[in-house]
Amino acid sequence: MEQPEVALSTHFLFPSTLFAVAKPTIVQTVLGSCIAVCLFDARLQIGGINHYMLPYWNDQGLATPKYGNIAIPKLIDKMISLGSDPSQLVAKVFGGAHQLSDSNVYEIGKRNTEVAFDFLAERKIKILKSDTGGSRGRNIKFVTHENLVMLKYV
Amino acid sequence: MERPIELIELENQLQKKTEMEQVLLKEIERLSTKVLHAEQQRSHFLSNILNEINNPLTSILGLSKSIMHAAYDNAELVHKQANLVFEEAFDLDYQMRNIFAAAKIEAGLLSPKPGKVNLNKLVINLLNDFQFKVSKKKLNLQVELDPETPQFYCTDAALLFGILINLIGNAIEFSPIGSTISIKGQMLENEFYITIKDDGNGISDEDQLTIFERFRQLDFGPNKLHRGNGLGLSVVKEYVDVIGGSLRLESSKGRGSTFYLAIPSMEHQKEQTAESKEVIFGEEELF
Repeated sequence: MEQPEVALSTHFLFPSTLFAVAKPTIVQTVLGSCIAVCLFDARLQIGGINHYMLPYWNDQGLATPKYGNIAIPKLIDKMISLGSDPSQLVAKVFGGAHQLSDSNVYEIGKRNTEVAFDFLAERKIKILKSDTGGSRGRNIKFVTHENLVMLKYV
Repeated sequence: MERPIELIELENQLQKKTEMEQVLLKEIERLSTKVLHAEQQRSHFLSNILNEINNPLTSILGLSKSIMHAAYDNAELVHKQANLVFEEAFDLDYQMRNIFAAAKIEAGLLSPKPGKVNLNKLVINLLNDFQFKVSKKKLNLQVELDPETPQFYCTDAALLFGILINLIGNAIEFSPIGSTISIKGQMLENEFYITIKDDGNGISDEDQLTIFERFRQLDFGPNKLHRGNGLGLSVVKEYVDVIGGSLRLESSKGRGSTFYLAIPSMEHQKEQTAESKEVIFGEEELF
């Protein structure tokens, strides 16, 4: 049966923010050494995504989703508030490129990636797919209700 | 007699384990201080916020009641009390805005909304709002705005307003009566710079490291002299980040403080966001 074409709403996800709503949406974001974790709930057909820049909150300033250890639990909480069962969530992880401007000492991209993998493992959330590391940035679009991610290297 | 190798190895292992235990213990100690500190901050914030909201609200209720019961011909009293209501409401609004702003930032819901902003007008409007405080403290406000500032500058007006209301509000709050505050806005190589200088107490090098922390007030406890919830500068820091600007502080104890704020044009970011509207992506890979 043919589905009528409906234009999906779009959202541009800025760094340090997160997005999870019940309405099907195409969320776009641009990642360098940052990480985006996409969570998807197959039962409710809803998805959510974050975009964090640094691995850990330094305990100063505001506890914002700029940091992986804040952004991931906040996204999970948001999915729960939308009715998701956390044990049913699945994830996709993107970003964490090694930026030339980064000094080798910090390896922010790598550490950002580690936080995502560690944290999701700790919460027993399965990572279905991931594309991390490398030296190129990523422009991604996440179709929230289909758990589909379109990726373009930049 | 030589000791058997197994024994030496066991000893070595034991030594290593003890060392590791020491490291872990230290880590636990560090974390527990951190938790304790966080708990203190939280409880301090709650008791402080109670005062910050309760006091102005009580004043507003009392004053408006008094206005309601004032004699019809007593215009002078009504005018005076209405002024006080405004002052209290202004403070309350300002504190609440910071709380809501911090909540929004922490929830990851703050995206910049670049638009065309008349910078000079924004600064002047803001200063008008503070007029009553300036005259109350008999401050000498020196404002110098570059006439070359473009009429329409691309930035987020609400966030810039939030930054300036906190920086100027702080300068007024911490300035001694009758002192001078100077505010200077200028365009330099297509970037807007604003400098806010006060003759207040100044901030020591050590304190400069902590003032952007949330809930941090240098003057705190039951006898504190200054109003506020300790969120202002932590909100400012995040706002500055979101509009892509930078903020620098020059100060030392007893010598006043100067905040230098640089605000780049957000024209570039606007283009990036517009890109999201296109639906055809020409994707290289699907996941």
